[in-house]
Amino acid sequence: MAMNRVHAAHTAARSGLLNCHGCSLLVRRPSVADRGHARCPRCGARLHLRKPNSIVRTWALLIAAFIFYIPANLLPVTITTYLGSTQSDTIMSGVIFFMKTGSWGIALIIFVASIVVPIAKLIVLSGLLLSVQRRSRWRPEERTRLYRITELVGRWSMLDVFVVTVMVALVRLGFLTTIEAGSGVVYFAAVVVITMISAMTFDPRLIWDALEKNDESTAH
Amino acid sequence: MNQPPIEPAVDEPIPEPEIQRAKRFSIVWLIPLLAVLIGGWLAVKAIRETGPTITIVFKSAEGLVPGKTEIKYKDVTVGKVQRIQLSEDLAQVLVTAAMSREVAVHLTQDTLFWIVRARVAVGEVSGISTLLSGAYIGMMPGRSGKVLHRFEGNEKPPAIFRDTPGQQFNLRAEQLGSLDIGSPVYYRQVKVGRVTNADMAEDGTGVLLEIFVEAPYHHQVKQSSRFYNASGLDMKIGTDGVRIDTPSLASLLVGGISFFTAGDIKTSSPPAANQIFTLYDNRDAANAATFSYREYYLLYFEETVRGLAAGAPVDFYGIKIGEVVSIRLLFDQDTLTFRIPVLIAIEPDRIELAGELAIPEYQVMEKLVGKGLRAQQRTGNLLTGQSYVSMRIQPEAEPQVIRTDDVYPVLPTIPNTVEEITATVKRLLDRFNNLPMEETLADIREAARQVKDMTGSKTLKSAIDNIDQSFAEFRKVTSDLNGGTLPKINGMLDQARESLARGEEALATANTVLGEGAPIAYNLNRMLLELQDAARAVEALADYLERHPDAIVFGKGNQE
Repeated sequence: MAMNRVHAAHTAARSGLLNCHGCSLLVRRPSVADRGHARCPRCGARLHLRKPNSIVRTWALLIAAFIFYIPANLLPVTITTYLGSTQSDTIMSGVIFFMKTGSWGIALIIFVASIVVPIAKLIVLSGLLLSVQRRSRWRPEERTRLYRITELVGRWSMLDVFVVTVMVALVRLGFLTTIEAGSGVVYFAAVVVITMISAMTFDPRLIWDALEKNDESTAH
Repeated sequence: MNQPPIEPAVDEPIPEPEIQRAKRFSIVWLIPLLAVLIGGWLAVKAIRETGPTITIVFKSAEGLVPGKTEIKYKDVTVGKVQRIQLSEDLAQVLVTAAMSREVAVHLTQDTLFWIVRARVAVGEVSGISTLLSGAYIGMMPGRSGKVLHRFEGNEKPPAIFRDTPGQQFNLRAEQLGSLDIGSPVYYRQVKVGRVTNADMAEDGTGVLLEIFVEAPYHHQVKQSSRFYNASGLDMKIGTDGVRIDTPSLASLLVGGISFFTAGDIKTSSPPAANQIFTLYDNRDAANAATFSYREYYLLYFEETVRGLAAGAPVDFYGIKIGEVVSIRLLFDQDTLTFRIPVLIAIEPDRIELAGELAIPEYQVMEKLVGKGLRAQQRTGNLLTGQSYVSMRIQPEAEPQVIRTDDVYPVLPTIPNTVEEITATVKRLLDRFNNLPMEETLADIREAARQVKDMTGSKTLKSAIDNIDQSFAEFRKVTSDLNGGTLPKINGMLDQARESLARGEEALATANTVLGEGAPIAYNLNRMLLELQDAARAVEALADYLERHPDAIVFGKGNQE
């Protein structure tokens, strides 16, 4: 981790340059007034030192994910009709069901993938955003690692959605057993997708910008 | 900027970026806005759909699972059981259920709840799905009344849903038989309804049944309708021969109720509100009960009543007007005689009346008895030996009256037909025995003697002498007198002789009657009368001749 300790290094920003995200052309940093409106002279892509509007966008998506998280957990994800009896299961009741029936492994997987991970993502992203907004200098390396884990693990939450989708497609035994997807799945998928996008819109470089002495140079 | 800018690789100047003005509002905020809208909509929907929470009291929560058991109406889920608790006295189960909003206004006083479990009965299988899925709570929405939050649950489902058009009727039966809730109700063998409830009467004296007759058949139930148990097979050997009544095959197995309307169906009025119909055991019983007004009479028979049984018909001119109610054997210890009082019930309503009845009914019977109404025991079926009581009017019967000194008025009886023949023969013989045979013979003998005396008497002799005397005188005069006088007398004497001969003949006939036992008493009577006439004629002749002896000579007509 020697690299991470090099806090003051040559950065493009410090050199008064910026890198086009599209074609990697190095261009001179535009003046403060023109920042955010600059375009790459080669490929025409928008030029920005950091992901544009990163904090606002991430917040917006995060808030949306938070809102969707509520119906995702309250509404049923599966409606199982087994020999005429219909049972609606939310994510949590499904976990409890597997726990009760002794399938601890499956219960744990679903619990982690569908409950721990999304909520952790939401909390981690919120925390990162808050720390960036407050220009915290606290443990930037750990925060960055947290972000990487969040981004990496986020997509695995879709596991539950896939399971439900596959089950609905496969278990069609007519009167015996039928599984239908509940509306909760849609919201859950929305939570997963939105948090993934939210993680993508977050620019981890912002974590390090706080460490720069010259605040002005790292804005955007 | 303490460090010099990095020189580009080539000498060219680093290009300047193009400048573009951006919109102030970031479009990304539409996503949380959308989320808020969807979330809000879901919340509103959830709140809107949340109906009242009710408590239903059941005796047992068998098959109910909190959070799972649904409340259904017409197989549509209208609520869900949330909690199941015991009442404080542990006697009942309190089921708390969240109802959906749409049925909230229907949760009124007359709302019914019952637990639907699998029910398997002959002719009907229901709730099979609950075998696997578990029980659910059925609901029948109320129509009106106060909205409640606490209900008494029923153990059994209602057989007919409330919104089915039709009408409910109450029946009372001696016993339930093979009937049960759901048993069909037939009218003219068309299934028109079913039994909706069957319960013991509170005092335990019978069974109260509720039946529901669907529209439009419920109009067929009239005030005079008779309901009877159409269950099973009804086989009967009676005076009418062998009879088998079978309902439809289904009701043969599961039982059922049939009804018919007695009397004129077009004029009978609809049933009274809360009218309780009697459920009869079979069609015959229902038929018999059609004539509810009965008059009881006692008949005393002195002959055997073999073949006569309670329920045997009482007929009048071959038409059933009543039936035998009971037969007893009465021993009179004073006279050491046996008598058989037979109690019969006559249903006067079976007899149609021309016009209005002007006198009380008991007087009608009195008058009829005065006219010769008699009861007689008859054999109705020679094969089975069944007897019945026949009422008939016999004008020649000796007059009798209704005796009223018994428990019931006693109608006069006449013996059985066989008995009657025997009695007739006996009576004939008796009458024959009582004939004044000796007297008649004596009369005849007397008449003959008188004739003899007359011919041998002095007066007659002197008369003959006179005749002899005057004969010569008058010979000339009378020589040409008609010769018819003498033949006339001869004719008279012949007649007398003939009468005697006929008397003999009558005796011979009587002998024949006696010999063959044929009842010709009438002829004999006539003969005897003629014989008496003959004797009287002979007497008159003798009398006449005594006063007018010359009549013998001169004849009767030509006297002075």
